[in-house]
Amino acid sequence: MSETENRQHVYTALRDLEQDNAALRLKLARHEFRQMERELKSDRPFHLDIFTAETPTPTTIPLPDVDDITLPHLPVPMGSIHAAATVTELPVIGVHDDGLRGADLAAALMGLMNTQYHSPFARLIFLCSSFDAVPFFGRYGFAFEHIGAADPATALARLNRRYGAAQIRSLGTGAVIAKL
Amino acid sequence: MNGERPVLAIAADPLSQVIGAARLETPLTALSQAAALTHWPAVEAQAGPVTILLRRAGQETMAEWRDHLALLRHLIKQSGKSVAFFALNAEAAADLSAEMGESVPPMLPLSRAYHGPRAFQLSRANGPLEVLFDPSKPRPAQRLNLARLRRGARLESDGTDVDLSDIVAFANGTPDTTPAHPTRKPVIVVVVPNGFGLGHVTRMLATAQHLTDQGRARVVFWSFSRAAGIIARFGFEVVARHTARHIGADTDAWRRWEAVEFSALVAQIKPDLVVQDAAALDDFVVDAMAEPQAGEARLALVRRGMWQKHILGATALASEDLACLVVEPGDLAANADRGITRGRAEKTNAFAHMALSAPVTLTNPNQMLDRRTARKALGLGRGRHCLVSLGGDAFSDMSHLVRHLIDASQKARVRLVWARSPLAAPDRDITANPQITTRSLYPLAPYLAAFDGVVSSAGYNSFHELMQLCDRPVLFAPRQHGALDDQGARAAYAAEQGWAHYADASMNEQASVVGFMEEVRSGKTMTGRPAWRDGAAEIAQMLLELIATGKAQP
Repeated sequence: MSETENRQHVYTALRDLEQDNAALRLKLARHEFRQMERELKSDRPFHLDIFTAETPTPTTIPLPDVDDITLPHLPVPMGSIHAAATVTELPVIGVHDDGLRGADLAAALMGLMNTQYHSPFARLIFLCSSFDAVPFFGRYGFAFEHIGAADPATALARLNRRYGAAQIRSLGTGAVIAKL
Repeated sequence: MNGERPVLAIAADPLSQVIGAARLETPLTALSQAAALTHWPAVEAQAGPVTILLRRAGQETMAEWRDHLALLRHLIKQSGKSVAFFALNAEAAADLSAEMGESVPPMLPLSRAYHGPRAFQLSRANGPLEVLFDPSKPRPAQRLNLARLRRGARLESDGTDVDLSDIVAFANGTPDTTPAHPTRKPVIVVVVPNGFGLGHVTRMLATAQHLTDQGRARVVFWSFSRAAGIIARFGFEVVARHTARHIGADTDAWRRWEAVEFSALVAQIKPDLVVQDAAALDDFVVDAMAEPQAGEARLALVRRGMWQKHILGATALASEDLACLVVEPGDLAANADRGITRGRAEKTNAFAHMALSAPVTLTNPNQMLDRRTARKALGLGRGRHCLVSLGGDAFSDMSHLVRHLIDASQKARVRLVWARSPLAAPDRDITANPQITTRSLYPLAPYLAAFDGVVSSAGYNSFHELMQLCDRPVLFAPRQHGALDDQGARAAYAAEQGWAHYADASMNEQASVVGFMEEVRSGKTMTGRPAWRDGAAEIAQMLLELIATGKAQP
């Protein structure tokens, strides 16, 4: 076999491997989406059984906006329901959970995730009013920020500095809450 | 502290780390004549009066020192700026008054922070400030933060420059001055990583409960764990963070963000102590704690033992030169510890105080439910029940063991109750099996009386809860993973002591499981296991003493 033929075989093998990888990533993303669907449609989504004495809800500590323009933007992951880990050309949007909890939050998320899975339109950072969905966002590889009862519009400056987010929208209605 | 009053300093001036403890009267202070010259536009633009600390000659030549003072005099005269001069001590004040031709009073000294016999020598012989714990191995002092160092030892200058002697004398302080925060209850920031399970979070929740008991301290968690909601349910303030891996970030970029935002938190809540439960202190924590806004806050590491042999490298040991206190939560199987940290808690270290506590559990014996209450809470019926708690991926990682468990439990007429992590998604493989009941609870220990036996991995928390709070047969099935502790050694040790059974792939797993299920079926009660001890209370006490005195006593 000549050196040229040899090289051609290597290129073909690498292309096949790349295609196999791409197919596997798509399968994995589909599996993750189905798993997510099941979770969001379960009887008690986001439920945690915790054995502890009743304690008052702790206050939320707001982090001040960092005045350091040399800090780079951090990536915003697409979540494990997408075959590519990051898609840099999509805009970064903060999505506020509107204070929804339990089944209401699950239903609203299902609508958004369904769209995001079939036709991804943005890189999402979820702004959570409670910690309920934090394990969920952690499992499926999404970025989130816990803001408690704070006005979500006040989070935009920090989200812009940290992730390059330009707007915050409502999870329930899609309405723009804040925009640069 | 006066973090709200800005100071001007040149890079790497060690005085900037310790000046936070001083009482500065003007809205803007330049920490040296060099800083005032470097930032002269800011000095000139300041509307009100400005304080300039004049310093004696340091690393510059005498000629350069005189030139700087002369230039400063010229600029002040030319601008008409109202400036108040101070020096670091009376001797420096006399020298500088003579040089400046006007009175330069000494600053008010700091309160003495350390009263013990320990002394550290500081040197600038090689350029940057170094600590000579061992004169043959000088260590950079910047990461240790001079403000923190002065709480742990009397500081000495090696005499290389007179300015360093002045800084050291100022940092040591004098007796009989007022403490900075005489009445505020201690504020503690707890940093927890995103581990494989809930080990770090559980240990620190147990400790934090003791810290806040009767309002003794305020505890804020900086959590990379998805268990932020659990921490909040226990009543603690929590800042939920992402790891670099979670968002796919470049590690350096992520670390810079963590250092800057952690530093912002520290400036905001002014903790007395930052404590991390981890193998080693994270760089971002060390970086943030070297910033002037960290003030005199102490730094502690809670590091459990039983690391796997050949794993961990020297990183964990390097933290011993950065933390004021390194506590090892006790391990009942410590005699079987083969890891790199074995025996470290008993060693002395030049900087960190090394300590060992009793084993830590989140649940104490008073919180254990009786059998009837526990069964009712779990919705379990009559008959024998065996709890299976093997961690997230047991169905795929330990499929042989799972099959043996199902077969043996059916033969022995024992019902399996599968513990699911509260942070895990519902597992279809488990829930689809009619032989298995699943429950997701945190913490599980209070419900142990509901069961006639337990099959468990041998992670730190499960192991110590089961060996100290459960009197039924236990079968340990250690999980083997490079990032986990040496569960095999821990489980084997428990078996040697007669506390539990032990099964892994290297032995006749099936026979072990069959024998164990027969024991469960018989309703056997175990005796001879170690009595419960409250390691969390011990660690909490060490941390509070560290805050109070700068040196913990085990």
